[in-house]
Amino acid sequence: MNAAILKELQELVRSNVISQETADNIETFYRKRKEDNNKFTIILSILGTILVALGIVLVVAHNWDEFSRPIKTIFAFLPLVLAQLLCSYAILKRKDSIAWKESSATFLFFSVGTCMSLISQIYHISGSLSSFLFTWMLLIIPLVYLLSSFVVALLYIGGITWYACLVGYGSPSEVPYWYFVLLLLLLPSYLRMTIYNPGGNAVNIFNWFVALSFACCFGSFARSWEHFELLFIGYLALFCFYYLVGTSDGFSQKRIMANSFFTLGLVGILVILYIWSFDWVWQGLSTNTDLSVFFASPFPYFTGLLFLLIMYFIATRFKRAGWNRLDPAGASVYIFTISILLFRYTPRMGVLVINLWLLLVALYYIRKGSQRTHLGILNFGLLIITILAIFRFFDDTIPFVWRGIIFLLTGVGIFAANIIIIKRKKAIAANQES
Amino acid sequence: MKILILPIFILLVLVQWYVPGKMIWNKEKVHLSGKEFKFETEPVDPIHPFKGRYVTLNFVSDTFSFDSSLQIEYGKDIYVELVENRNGFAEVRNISNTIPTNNDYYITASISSISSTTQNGINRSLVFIEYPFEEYYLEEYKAPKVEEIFRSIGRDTLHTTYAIVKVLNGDAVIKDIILNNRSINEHFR
Repeated sequence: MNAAILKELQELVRSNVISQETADNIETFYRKRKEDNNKFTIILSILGTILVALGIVLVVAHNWDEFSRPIKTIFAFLPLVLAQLLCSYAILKRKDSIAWKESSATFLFFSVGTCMSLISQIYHISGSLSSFLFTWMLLIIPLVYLLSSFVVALLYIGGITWYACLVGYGSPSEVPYWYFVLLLLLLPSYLRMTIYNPGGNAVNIFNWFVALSFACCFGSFARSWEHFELLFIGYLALFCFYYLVGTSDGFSQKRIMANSFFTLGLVGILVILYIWSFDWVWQGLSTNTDLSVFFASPFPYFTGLLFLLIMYFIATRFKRAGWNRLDPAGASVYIFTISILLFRYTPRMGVLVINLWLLLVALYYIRKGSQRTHLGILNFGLLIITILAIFRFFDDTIPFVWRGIIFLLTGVGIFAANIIIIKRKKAIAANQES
Repeated sequence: MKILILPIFILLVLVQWYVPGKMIWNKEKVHLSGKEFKFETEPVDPIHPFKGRYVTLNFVSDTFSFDSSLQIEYGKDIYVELVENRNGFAEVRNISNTIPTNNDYYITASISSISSTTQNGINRSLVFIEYPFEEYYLEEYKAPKVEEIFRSIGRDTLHTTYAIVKVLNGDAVIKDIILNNRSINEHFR
């Protein structure tokens, strides 16, 4: 904080212009602003480093083949040595500077990749992108611990996700078991973060990356996509699990964008249910009853585990709050699975059940919004119904009259519910004033 | 723990040097002591997000037929022994699932696919070999031009295109690509 301002404040207190408390508040305000500026500096320095490092990657990828092999080899090691020296300086002299540690670690992250790329380029070494990413990620993971680098941890999650997708979805493909080992290497860092700064932005961003990464890789654990409904069951189980984690005690107080498990889980559940609210998906179900290939992969067993975890969450909540506060969204996977088992040969029934279930999820949010007098939650429930109504607009199996009535009721419902809640809010405000 | 940070970081620096250093050492050894083979080839022009633009070399000699008594597993390394044919180009003499003991000029490769056939009542397998040197990296503007030159030469049966590859103890490194009897780089001078 500026010494001149401090001096002025003391002067103002002495002259009884402001109280000591006001002076303290002003001091706290300026100190806080300085901290925010520091955060801004950190973000800018990291962004700058990423841009410089990516620029080097691209310049290297141009391939300067007029240079001799030894010269190119020296250029390959130049950014690596520079980054290692910067990291050493950060460890020895700037161990308290987040900006220095994050920037130098990020630079080293890219320098390792650049060096390996250039060597492969110089000697024309073929090799899959997945094995390249695998080696690269193993070579940089210690930076997450040695320089406490959060940015490298995020880049690492991105790298291992890319690796797992290449291995699992590529051709030829195999189950990317190493993904779990690589992900587990981040566990101590994550635990450290949750212990020292549980509600911090870092944990929230980390959760977003992990939740997205696992959702991207989950499908690669299946070896057969013929029975796509089983993949949907697996993914719905994953999203229900995310949703239940996101609505559990440790997470439910977070803002929507800070709660990755809730947001991703709910969006995932709704998207899958909307897809299966159409007749054509049910018509495309495979008639092949041989599931041996599917059950030879780890995917169904992960799904089974998720079913058990979801059951545990629901049972615990039921014990605590009973039927009254039971959230249908988290149980969607059970309804979906039962529908697939019972109605695979009577698609119309399946479509009906999924549509009704979506309606139930919407009603749950409308009720919740109404009980809490919260317009956002209430309108979210109405939005679920509105999207459902829009999808059914194109459904020619429903007569025009019925579709018209659905639209009318939805529109009237939105107006009525909002008017009721606004009136209730006004009444509450008037009561508080009086 | 804080005392250990610097020694661990120095260890990491050494490992980060060792991995690319080992790549260089392996390839330099082949450059210095390897035997040259010419591999007839035809290329296409793809791109790698980090390493840049390259031409993929599809080698003519990339299959080998053997009787099914040889146990070769998909996904495991195979050892390809080479020999020069009448025209001076590399040809596969033999493949095995163990390192050849009496020959230094073999390549550690992988299997891209296996198909089974029957010849004179004997079951035979045809293996498609994936060599570890199928990418030739070039300056980004040159790669598409090389692909064009390759295509024009490819239509002319009088010309051959080939890669000069140095081979030693399972490892291999491309020394040059010859297009129309001239080194690939001479086409840009």
